[in-house]
Amino acid sequence: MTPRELVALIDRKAAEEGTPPPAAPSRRDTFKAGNPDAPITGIFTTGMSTFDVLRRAAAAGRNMIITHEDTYFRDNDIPDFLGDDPVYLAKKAFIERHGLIIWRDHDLAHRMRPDQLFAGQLRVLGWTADRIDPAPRMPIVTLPKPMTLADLTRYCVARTGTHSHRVTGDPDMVVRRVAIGVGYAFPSMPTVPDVDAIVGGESAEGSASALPTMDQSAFAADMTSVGRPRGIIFLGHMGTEDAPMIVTAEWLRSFVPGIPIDFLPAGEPFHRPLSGFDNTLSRRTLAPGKPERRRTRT
Amino acid sequence: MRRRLTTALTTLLSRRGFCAAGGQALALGALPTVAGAQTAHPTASEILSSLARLAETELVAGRLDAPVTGMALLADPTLAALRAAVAAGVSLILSPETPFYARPMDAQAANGPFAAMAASTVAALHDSPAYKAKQAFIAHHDLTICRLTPRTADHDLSADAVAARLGWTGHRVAGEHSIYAPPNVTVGALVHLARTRLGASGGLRFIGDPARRLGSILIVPGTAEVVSTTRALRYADALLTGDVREWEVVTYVHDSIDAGLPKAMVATGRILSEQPFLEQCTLAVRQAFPRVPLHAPVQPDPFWRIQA
Repeated sequence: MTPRELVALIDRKAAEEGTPPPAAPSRRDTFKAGNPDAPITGIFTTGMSTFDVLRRAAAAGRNMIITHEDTYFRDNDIPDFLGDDPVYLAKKAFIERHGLIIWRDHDLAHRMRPDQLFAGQLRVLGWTADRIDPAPRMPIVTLPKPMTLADLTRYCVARTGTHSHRVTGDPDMVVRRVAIGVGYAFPSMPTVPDVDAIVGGESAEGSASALPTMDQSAFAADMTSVGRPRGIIFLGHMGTEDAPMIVTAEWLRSFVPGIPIDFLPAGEPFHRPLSGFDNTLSRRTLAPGKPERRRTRT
Repeated sequence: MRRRLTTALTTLLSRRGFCAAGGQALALGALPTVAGAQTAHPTASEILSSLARLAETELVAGRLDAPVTGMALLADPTLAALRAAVAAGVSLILSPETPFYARPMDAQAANGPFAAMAASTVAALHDSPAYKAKQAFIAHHDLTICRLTPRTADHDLSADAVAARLGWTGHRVAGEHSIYAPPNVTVGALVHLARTRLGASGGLRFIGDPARRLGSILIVPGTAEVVSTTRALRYADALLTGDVREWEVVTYVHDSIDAGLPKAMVATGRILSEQPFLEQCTLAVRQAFPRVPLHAPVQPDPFWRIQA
């Protein structure tokens, strides 16, 4: 089987399973590198086709990578802005030298019912969704038992193994219900007024973006200030969209015969925090009544 | 003259802020003076004119002709920060961020395939307790709020401000990019500086071998956009920034290591990376309007983490 034949099979299988067709042809889900008519020697699914993933795939003798995120550092994967950038050229040369073929599975994976990334992340977190709203189709989970934001963070970190997580909110606030995000698909807190916390990947900081993209952390802080404590656990893009690609690998194995298919983790890009950067607590989002330490120059 | 200015500045800033930011302000040359500087209650417009050389300004709430009883410079204009400012007698807020979490919805979102979802998100925001409380608070206290955007026409003044805070004034590399070449800096030392000089703690993330020596560091306060940042990074060993997208610059830096062309990156979080520039603005308005009460809190890292 060739990659081109495989992708055609994937599209047919998805349609058979009731996946709604795209509103327009996906500009993301295309071949990013390699010869789509070469025989497939083996497949890895992954969250991000990093250089390290490519090396490990080549070392394992598999030539096709199905990646959820981009290869060339921008969502549209058009590398024109990179020109003769040495990092880009080295990655491109490695792909060519090892005959690798990269196909991105982003929009389809999110269009599936259920969304493969959310299904995978719920499995990683060990939770079942109460509901998935029609839009933006992000799961809402009532926790088996209420817990503090600090304890919820410990739970999520233990389940996902992420070390580059960040949290905003009062560590002592009680969380009963959470909204789940993956990657940059981040629940907008105002649209889920009945949840106490978001467990997601990444979102824009600050207010430079135009609505509906917004500073979720600042909003959570203000909700806390008006007596409705809110928290956010950012597990990072690969803390939420890497391991869920296991679901995609399992799905492919269910109808693609004779080709080895496995998940290959991209892992977190960030170094482990150095000593002194753990167990630090925010002073921005304290519960009402707690004094805020402040140094003021007047 | 320099001694008098130095004395005035030391009453304004903490030791850390003075050593870093004050030194840079002196390096920038004479601070501006404007008409109305001796007025007890200048207008917001007059105060903004003292920042013309540093920042572009945008009215977010209130009136530019309102008399200013006190002014606050806030990196992070949360409701708690606004309340503290009002308690200090402030009527003018200056910030690199808007208190309303984002810019107004853009036309693409309003008319694109996800228009309905975007509209419902905006409606939910406007109906939220946080948004309503903030709007009501701003209106009730007749606050004027202006957004400051650093000028970048010549070079990025906000990057210079971060460099000054790190003690790197005078180490800027000639050229179009905000690249600095301080002596004896490793990745680990840069992480340490981000903690001790910029206040980064739970929100700090980095890529690179802590022992690796860095000859040059690109500073991009705020959010590091992928095209301009990757272009500039060709000429630097590391990036020091605030916020960064993980599928863009983060992956580029991560890949550079496997490509045998290792770069490093330290991300402090957007708010902390903007604070040094805000202190430059604080110096300018304080110098121009010494009789107007000034509230300029050092706002902490909004993030925390647990030991993984």
